[in-house]
Amino acid sequence: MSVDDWFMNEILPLEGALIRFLRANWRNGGDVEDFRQEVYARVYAAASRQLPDYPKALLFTTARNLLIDQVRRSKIVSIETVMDLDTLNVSRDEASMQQVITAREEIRMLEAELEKLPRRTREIFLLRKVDGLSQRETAKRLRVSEPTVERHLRKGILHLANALNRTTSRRDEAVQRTAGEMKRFEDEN
Amino acid sequence: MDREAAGWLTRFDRAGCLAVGTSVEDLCREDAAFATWIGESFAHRTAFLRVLAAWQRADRLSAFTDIRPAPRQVIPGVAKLAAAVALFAVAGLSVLAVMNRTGEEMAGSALVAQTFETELGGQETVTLPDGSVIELNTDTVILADVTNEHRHVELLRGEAYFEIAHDPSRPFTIAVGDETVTVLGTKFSVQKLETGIEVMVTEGRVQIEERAAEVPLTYVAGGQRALTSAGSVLVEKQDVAETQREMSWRTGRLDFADTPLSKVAAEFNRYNETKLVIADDAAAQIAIGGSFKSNNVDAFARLLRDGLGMEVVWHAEEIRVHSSPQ
Repeated sequence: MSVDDWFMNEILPLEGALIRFLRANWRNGGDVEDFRQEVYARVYAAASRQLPDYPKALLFTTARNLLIDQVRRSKIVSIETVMDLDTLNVSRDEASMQQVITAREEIRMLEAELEKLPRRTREIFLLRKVDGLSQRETAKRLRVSEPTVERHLRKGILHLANALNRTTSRRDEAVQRTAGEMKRFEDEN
Repeated sequence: MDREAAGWLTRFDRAGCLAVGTSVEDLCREDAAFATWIGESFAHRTAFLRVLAAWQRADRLSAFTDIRPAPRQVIPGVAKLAAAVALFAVAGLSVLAVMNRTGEEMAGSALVAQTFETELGGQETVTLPDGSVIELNTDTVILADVTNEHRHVELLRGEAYFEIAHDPSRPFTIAVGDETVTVLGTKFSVQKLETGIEVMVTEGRVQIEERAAEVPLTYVAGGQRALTSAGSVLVEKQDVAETQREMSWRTGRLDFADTPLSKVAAEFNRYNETKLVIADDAAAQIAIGGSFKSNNVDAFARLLRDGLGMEVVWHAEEIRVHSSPQ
């Protein structure tokens, strides 16, 4: 499997859990997207040397180490931050959410995300992706310029990329609950 | 950088380069500038793979044509709308909400509102066409209707934090429960409770009025919190520390100071499928302080057991907590 395929199949589906992890362990929400990008770059770099056996472990270890680096760099170490780092362990629940989505759920998610787009952007997106018109044909149909179509598609795909990797399905919640139960069972036995 | 990546993607699409199975390498051969950009950093490459993945997932849409709006049949649509107006105007519900929930899209799409929802334990930030940002907390449903003429949102359930773009020509209104909250460029949160609503303002001012009456109930300014119940409203000052605690959900945490366990459990239950049940009065009154991850109710329960010596029993759907045996 190419590293690109590996990245798309194994790492991107974990984005929701990664973002939650970053948000939960870093006070400044504004940094989270930058951290995400940096984590992905480091994970890809590691994978390009050798494809890891445990993608989830690599992803979250990388994220954890990045946050630790940030704390060291910021030089403002409050007691609170240090204590948080001690508990910087990814909960089993977060890491074990499998992104097993049925085709039906996938469509539902796509629809829901499209609903959130501004009217014009959604229209252009649907013409291109559902009706299969080319960008030029879409521009003709709506009587707008081709750069306009391209711009709307760019906005639309960016929104989708952000949303699709974050939305959990009902299936994920069930898996999360099962993981929690398994952990309790282990704790008590 | 994500924007750049999306820009590359749509540029290739315009040139017709994106076929099934097209690889990054293929595209690098097509465009030297792209190859340079990819070569600059793994971060560029992963950003591109991210939007490429979304683009490929969106290909599934072509298999399902029933998400397209129905062909433009204005007359039957208008008849339906008239009936809906008659029926639901009385109930005080937004007509737009009704049309959306029955899944029928109006011809001309001018009346279609956007729906935003989060699941239990979920959180999402959305940006409206006017630039306003709404953070949705757990189990929340919002309908947004933003046009050039007006900006109207309905909070059907849950809680959200709003940062509203300033635009005096279009006042921003939020319908929630029996109240309407009117806004002029502020930062505040609104929660729909069973008996009323809660509004906490961090910056600016909002006006609360009863939807039925259209007479202002009260104004709430920065540093204040309002709680309504059956037409009456209580406005109180809220110190910064307390406001920050109540907004900690925005970073995935729940913060408490001297809060009875019964209230703490109720908060956790808003975010988690597994529910905390406080089984006796003594336990319910124990005061809790601290900061906890909202999605990890198991860890909190273990703290109660190990830190406070309480008796904690795990069941399939709930965790029952008893005060320590005397």
